[in-house]
Amino acid sequence: MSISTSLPSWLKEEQNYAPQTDSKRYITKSLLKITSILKNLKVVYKSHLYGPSVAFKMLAVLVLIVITSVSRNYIFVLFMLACVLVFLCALHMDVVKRSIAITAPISLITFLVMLPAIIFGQYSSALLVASKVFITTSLATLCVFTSAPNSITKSLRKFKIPKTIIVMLDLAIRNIIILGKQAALLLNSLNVRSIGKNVDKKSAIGSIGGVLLIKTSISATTTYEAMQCRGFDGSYDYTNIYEASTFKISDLIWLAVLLVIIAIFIYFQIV
Amino acid sequence: MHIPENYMSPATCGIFDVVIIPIWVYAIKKTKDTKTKEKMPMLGLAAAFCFIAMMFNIPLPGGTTGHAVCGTLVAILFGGWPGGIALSVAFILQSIFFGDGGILAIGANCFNIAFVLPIVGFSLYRLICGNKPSLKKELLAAGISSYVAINVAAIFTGLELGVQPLLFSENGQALYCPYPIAISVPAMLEGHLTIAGLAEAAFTVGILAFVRKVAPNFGIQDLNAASGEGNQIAPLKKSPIIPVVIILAILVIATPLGLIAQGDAWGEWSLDDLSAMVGYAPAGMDGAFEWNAFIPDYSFGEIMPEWIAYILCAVIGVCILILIFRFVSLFMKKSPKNSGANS
Repeated sequence: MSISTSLPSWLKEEQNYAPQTDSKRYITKSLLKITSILKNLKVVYKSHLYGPSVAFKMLAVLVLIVITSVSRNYIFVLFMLACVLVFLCALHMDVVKRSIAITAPISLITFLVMLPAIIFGQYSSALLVASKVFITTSLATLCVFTSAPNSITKSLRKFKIPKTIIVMLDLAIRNIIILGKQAALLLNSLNVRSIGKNVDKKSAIGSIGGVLLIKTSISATTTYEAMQCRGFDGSYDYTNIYEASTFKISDLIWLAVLLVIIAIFIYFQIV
Repeated sequence: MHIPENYMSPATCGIFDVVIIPIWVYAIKKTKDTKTKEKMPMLGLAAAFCFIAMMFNIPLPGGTTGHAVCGTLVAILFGGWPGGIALSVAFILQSIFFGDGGILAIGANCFNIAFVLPIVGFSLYRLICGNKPSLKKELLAAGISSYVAINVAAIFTGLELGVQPLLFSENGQALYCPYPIAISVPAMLEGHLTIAGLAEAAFTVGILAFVRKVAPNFGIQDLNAASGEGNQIAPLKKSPIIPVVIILAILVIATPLGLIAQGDAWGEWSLDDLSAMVGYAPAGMDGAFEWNAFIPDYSFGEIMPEWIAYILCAVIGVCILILIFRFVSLFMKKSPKNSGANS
């Protein structure tokens, strides 16, 4: 019995497939966004020897945001602006860039919203509000960008935040990293397989969302099972884990600085 | 030397605003070609130096005040064109935030302070330094060139102000600056040939000597570059920024010394003061455009002591300048030889 070894005629035909070009921005932009989030979460935060503890930093930022917001005195707001600018100058440019990327557009939009006030002669009001927005958002972003995400959740324990919320936040941060990596893999595979014109981009990106949802469910179940295996009985008592987040001696110096700022605030409220 | 709002006609201001644009474009191109990412934060510090120097008011003969600019110093450290950019940014900041110099007159002021001054100063410095300068010769060249440069800039300012009554008068009364060239140029030179010029030379020589000794890598123009070998990229063995930041902080704290000098600089009077001196309010200045600066005259009125307000303004100005140049450095090329960024 002889076996034919010749190739079928359709296989011998010369291929001249030229795929149509199509925009892949929906893939590349999503991929870039996910990558940048993962990169930010992976940043190693070096706490400065004389820097405040995260717990104190959060408390101080909260106080400063409140007093800046309630201050009706433009001089105090300028004083706070000077303080924020000094901090911005002292920090690494990557942190400053990330902070300004958030604060500058917000402050600009606020200023534009307040433009009618300038037209009606309330020039200082527009500046006051825009400056306040810049200061408060800068303080918040600088606090977040100079602290590791897990140290923030640890510090929340100091403020008597319910343990359930803290555990949820911790698990959320961990899952963002895991699911972010999964999303990046899925987008990469979609990118590789997207040849020619894709007429149903919504379906392609929707499928990724669907797969991620399933993965989230699996991840949640796995985490719960792992916690049960380690003796989780439904109560959260993580005191020993959060012990590391205590106030530092250098916090006393920063506390003095904070008290001086509060004193200046009170002075300008009275004057 | 800051020409205030409305002392020059809108037409004159417009001409200078147009003239300064190609100068800025060329200066930016030169800066991009010769300066690297790592050097830009230093240029920001240099701009901050100029900003602070201009806050130190000095009493001058005739009851007016003047100040140093440190334009030649920045040009010696970074080159004439990058120095011009640093001075321009410092000057624009002063105009917008502190009302020091007119918004419409930005072109004219930048032409005098950020183009004429550093280019004249730097050219003269290179001429005097010669081929193989010693530190003493360099400091001498810096002193002479800075003194001459600030006086040349003062002559230009005097000419721009003095030409106004010749061009814009109505019924025998000037519409803008009422003093002709015969008065404005000698008046500007009187202060700058004496105290302000010497202060500029003292600032330039003092700071240059400090920088050459403590932070020799600060800037790009070093002694070899002055010998005519072009722009040298000095290797960054250790950060030269810290000692410069320390001296800058000391100067910021010392800025209230500038308040000791009472009175306005020549040609920087308020409309009321000018009217009292010449007997009428020039029609072009009365009711003309006025910019509402965020912190006019570096002061918050009676609510805050002047010296605290002065320091606060200095801190805000210095920080903004440093941040601007640090941001610019993000978009610049990195030195191939130097991996130690100082951002």
